[in-house]
Amino acid sequence: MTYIKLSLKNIKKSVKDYVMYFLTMFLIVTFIYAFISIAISDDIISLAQNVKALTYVILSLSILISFICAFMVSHAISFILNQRKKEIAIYLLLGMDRKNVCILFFIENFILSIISLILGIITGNFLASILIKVIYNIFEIEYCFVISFSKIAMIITILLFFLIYTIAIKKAVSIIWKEKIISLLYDNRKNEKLENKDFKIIIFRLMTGFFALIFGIIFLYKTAVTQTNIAILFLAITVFLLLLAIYQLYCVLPFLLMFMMTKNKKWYYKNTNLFLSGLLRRKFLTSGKVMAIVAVLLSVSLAAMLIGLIMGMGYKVNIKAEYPYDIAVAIDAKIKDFDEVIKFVEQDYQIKDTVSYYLYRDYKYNIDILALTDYNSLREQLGLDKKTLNSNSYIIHCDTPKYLDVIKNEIIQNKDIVLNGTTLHGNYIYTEPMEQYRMAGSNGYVLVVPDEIVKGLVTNKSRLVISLETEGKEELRDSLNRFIRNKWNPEIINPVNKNITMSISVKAWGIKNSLSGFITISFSGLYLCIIFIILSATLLSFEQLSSIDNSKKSYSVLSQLGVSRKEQKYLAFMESANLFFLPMILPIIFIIIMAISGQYFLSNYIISDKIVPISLAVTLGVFTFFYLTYFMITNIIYQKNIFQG
Amino acid sequence: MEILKLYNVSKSYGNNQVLKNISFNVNHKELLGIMGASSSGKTTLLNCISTIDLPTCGEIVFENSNLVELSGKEMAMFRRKNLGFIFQDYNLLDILTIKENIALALTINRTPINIIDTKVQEVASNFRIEDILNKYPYQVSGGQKQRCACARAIITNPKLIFADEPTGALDSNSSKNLMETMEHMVNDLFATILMVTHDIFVASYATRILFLKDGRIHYELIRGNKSHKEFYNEISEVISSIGGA
Repeated sequence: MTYIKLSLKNIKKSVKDYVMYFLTMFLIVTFIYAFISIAISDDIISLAQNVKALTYVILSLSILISFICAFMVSHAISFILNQRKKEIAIYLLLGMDRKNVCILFFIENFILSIISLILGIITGNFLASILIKVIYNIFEIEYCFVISFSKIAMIITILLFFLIYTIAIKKAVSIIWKEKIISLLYDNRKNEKLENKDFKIIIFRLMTGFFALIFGIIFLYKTAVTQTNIAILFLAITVFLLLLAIYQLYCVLPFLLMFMMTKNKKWYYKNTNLFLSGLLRRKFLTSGKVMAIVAVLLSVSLAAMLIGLIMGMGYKVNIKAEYPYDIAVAIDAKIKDFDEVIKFVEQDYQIKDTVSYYLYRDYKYNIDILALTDYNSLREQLGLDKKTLNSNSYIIHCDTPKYLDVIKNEIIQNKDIVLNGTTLHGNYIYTEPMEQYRMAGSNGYVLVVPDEIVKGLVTNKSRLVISLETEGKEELRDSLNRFIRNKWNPEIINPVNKNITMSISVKAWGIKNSLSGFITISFSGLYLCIIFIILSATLLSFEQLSSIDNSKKSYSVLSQLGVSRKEQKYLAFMESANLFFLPMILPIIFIIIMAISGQYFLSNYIISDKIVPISLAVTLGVFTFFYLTYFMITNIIYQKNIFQG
Repeated sequence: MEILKLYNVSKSYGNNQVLKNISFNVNHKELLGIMGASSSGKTTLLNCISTIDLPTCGEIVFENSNLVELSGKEMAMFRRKNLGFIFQDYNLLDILTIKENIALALTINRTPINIIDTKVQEVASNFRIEDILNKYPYQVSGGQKQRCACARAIITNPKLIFADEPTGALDSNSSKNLMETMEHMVNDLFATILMVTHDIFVASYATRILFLKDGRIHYELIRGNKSHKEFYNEISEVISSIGGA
């Protein structure tokens, strides 16, 4: 019989062992191909200038993911080999060369891997088309759904696939090559030794986990309230402490559960609970660390997806506030006029309206000041109503929610200001998006005063706002930028600083590139999250399936003791359910707390309050879909193996 | 008093008839041994009586109910209420301590929670395993494991205990101890044991022995008032005549 024929027979015989391996390889290929495909797709790259960030991020993530997957796949291959150690020993006993055994195993594994690669690329192609359609929808551009095949994506996927496969198969070769026949033959007779862990270690883990959690929460709060760059350091410390807490608590949690179970005699001695607690104890002692690692992986993946979605969607809803004007030019000095700039724009675009104005400053107050007429011109540009003012009052315009409470308090306390010898009383606060950081003020707010008040103030900033008849093009930003920086020579009347700051903002460019930011962050989070969920679920799945031999014996004893098949199936289900669902408890609590904190702290920065709940729902939805699928398939295979015959 | 009756029980696997019209009774408080050469049908017979397997035809009547007619759920309930098992490889659960292994039989039988600990202590003391109750099966010797299996088999007061080569994995000293324990179960704890063995020494502890050959009951020996040695010699002779056990 040729090796290929023998390999095909072996695949047929070991189909149950190979199901999870095949599923994991297939899903990994599907997602790697789909994401690479969108990252290098011309349709996507042509959407905006900085969409290339998506390409770099996805390609870098794919390489990272491939290495992580390689170790997971090698774990899967070890599982399959462990199930078949006796068979390998028999081949060797019959005089087959170890090299030939390796070839035999390699062929059957390779056949399945190639099938998963081909199917993965086909499904990935379909998935990529759906993702491209989703991205076009985000950009609000019509896209005709076409399933197009990307050769480059396929080549990169195949290269990464072989990287994964080579690392993984090395493990199999080393097992076949190095294991003695006797250990291959009698390996499955080994019992799992259940030794109770040292009580002191449990207490140590509990204490470190608890303190890491407390300090993690403290640092999370500090991160949220800190406005300086040190927030990044706080965030890193928070992430480290929270992941440490999750790991340490998961190493202890099973023992706490066991302690609670055995102390509750009413539960412990009820029907088959004694057996269930024994099964769980075995699982906790043998797979406790795997469960803790999975909990950490799930926390990272869920957090990555949640943050990715919140930030990405936040970008999208904030776009209109960030880019209220078709074209805006800001120069932090008093210049005579913007006529040449307007003429430059007029060469290619039909201008609807322009507003050029100054921002003033009184050095007693750290705030930019805008004349009422200019303020109303800007409002008119944005389609807002005009405002009026008494000669002794002022308006605060603030479109940055985080300052609103402070400003309101100041006005409620009737804090008057004196400008140009006139005392002005606080009047109203308006909050419509007017780009308060550059165009209509700075630091997120501006003081609007009657026109006569600004006459005696220092003019320190010049601004130009242009609205176009038709929507501008993305490229206008670059050409305008080149013109202003290289060709335009404005007449500076009152230079405040030696170096003059300039900035240009073009709505068309801004929107497209903010959307690029959105898809880069969201899709990277989604990619990482899905792969990590698949890997976590695969790890748990093989952990459960590797206990089939021991469980088979345990359940047959239960059968002899008169426990019905239905009850046994329930116990097997509970066993799998505990392994899968216990590690997800803390990660889910963790991201729900993250979402609640996000809702609280980000409300100052993100205009819509629906983003966090939607992001949480999408994250949990994606997680539930993949995790439940793996759980159900594992449970079916586990029960089929245990109760067969 | 008879607690189990077999009428013309046959069992075939395809064309191979392993049991051929077997009929016999099992009486209360007896240690009935079943002997026979390899492939004589001993284990198949035990599996059929213990409802682990179904006969092809015939009746197995246990206290007026025909076990062959029970549904899967009823069979499980029957095993739970009436049967105990002792196996060659002990069939203890490595995931549970010795105490939990014994208590499991009680919890499955829905024994009131408040008496479980007391009953386990009681039976452990009877089988001299009190000191190892908190150990796992892999931490104790083969003899101790088998005594634990006996304790588990008897703790629910089953009407019939099946022992399949109970001393198969034990040394001679542990085998002797175990058989004395089984004698104690029958004489003092009023158990009924149906034991399959090929070991003449072990069989000499039985009160009655059925010899199987080619799927049929070939011979029956009753110990009566004979000593172990006399009965041992008698069994040896029968085995020689039927060509081995």
